[in-house]
Amino acid sequence: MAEPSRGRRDLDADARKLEERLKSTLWLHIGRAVDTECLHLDTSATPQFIGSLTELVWTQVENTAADLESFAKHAKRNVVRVDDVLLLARRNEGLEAILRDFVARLEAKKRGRRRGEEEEDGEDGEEEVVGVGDGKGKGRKKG
Amino acid sequence: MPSTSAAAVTKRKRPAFSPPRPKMSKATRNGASRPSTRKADGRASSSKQSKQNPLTSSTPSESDSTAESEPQSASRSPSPHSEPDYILAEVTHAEAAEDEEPVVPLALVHTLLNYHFSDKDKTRIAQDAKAVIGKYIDTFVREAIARSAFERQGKGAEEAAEGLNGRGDDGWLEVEDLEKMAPQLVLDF
Repeated sequence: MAEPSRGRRDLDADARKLEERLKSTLWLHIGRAVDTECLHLDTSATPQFIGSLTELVWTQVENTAADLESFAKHAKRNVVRVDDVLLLARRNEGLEAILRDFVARLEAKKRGRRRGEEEEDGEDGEEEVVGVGDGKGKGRKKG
Repeated sequence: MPSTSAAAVTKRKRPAFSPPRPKMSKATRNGASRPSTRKADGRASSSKQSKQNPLTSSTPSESDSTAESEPQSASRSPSPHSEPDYILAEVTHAEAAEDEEPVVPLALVHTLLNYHFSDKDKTRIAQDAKAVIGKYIDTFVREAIARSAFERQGKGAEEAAEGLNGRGDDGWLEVEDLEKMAPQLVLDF
């Protein structure tokens, strides 16, 4: 019965390889971000810095994933929605404002695109009501 | 919950993270060139104004270390006007990610999250939610870099004040800088 154990070891190795590849991909993007930011901030970063930052982001994403999943589950859903993500920022007003702003812009862009398509279609009289639409979060800003 | 959240807003202020702006020549130029991108909030403009006056530029590292050594928030409180409405990364160059690719592409965000979900088969992510998570990570990364730069800067100033010219590594962000600000960063996110 060596088969199952060997199989598991293969699986472990595969998982580790996958994790490594994900991490190196993340590393690449973080490195790029660090480069751009350092240009802005007039500084530069050591490779070790980028590596550690990658590790930090990895851990943060790990926690985030668990949180989001729990939030969705708590709402008896299997799909993570925007509301769940906004809940991540519940303890940081500045961050929440940023995310809400982003959501509002996302919605606006979507609406704009939809309207653009309508205009291309020609003169259909159905004017879309702006501001009352499916404003996830935007309308709740004051609350 | 809504009532408590309202109370929480009033009673618990976000700890002020109000570093002296790094010599903002580039960042301000960027911000000034595209001032209107950050619409729909007077907060951004007010924070831009507050960025004009050098806040605590003389002893940034010192104030930091005191805040770390004594847990009372009293050491942080003498900054009624200096608390930026946006966290640092957004203040320095708020215009950055208008139509730009996010730091981590959404496909990778998706893969990473899915990798970490405990119920991989069932849990899914809405398209919009993915974008917002992207923004979240974006902000996280930028903030991390900005705070590290701030740490580094404070240390540089300290070394200069002591007369020893560091190790000659002027302005390289190091793991040390990351380590110093990581706990607070993770608490803030």
